[in-house]
Amino acid sequence: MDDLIKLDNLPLRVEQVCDLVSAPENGAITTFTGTVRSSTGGRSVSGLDFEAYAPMAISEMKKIADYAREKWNLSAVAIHHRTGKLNIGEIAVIIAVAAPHRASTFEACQYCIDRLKETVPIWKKEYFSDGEVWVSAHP
Amino acid sequence: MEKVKIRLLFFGITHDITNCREREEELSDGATVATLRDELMETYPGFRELRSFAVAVNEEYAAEDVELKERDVVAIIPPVSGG
Repeated sequence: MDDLIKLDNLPLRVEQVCDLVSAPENGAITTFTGTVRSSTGGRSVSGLDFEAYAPMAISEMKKIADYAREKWNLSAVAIHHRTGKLNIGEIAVIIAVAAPHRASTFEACQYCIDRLKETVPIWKKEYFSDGEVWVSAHP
Repeated sequence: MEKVKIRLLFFGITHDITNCREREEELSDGATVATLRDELMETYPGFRELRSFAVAVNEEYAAEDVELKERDVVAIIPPVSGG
């Protein structure tokens, strides 16, 4: 159960997260995978670094998963977020939601990633050829 | 006047601004999240340039009027950017 919500400083794998929510009664698993983009606002990104307030990040991700499970009658929700240094194309986050039928899973999955970006205490520092920036810190 | 001692944690850009990840801080008895926010903005001009910052007390987001107590773990949460 605790594996469903996780911070990991090692590469994430979609299949592994799907396996966590897979069950005979589930006919649908919808996933979201967030990856590291090569540019931001026209500037070329060389890599990034995720810092997390680990215990609170876990508890906030659990709140999101619990709320979504309840609201959309899901069987299971898994959220894995990477920490540490990542290269372009690497996976930053994977969300997998499972339910007997697909209808509710799309909206639920979108809610989870949107909410994660608002409340979970994780910070992204982007590295450029000529410097580094904490994303969203300044107006 | 009595003092309360809290544990302060700084994350993301606030760690860069303060050049500190974690330290103890003494506040006046009765100090709230708002009091701490004002003190930080006074001490570190960099805090005033941020879009915003939240404060978590013992791993939960806290409102401005929450009173800080002895041994609270208080985290400064600049705008998050996970995902």
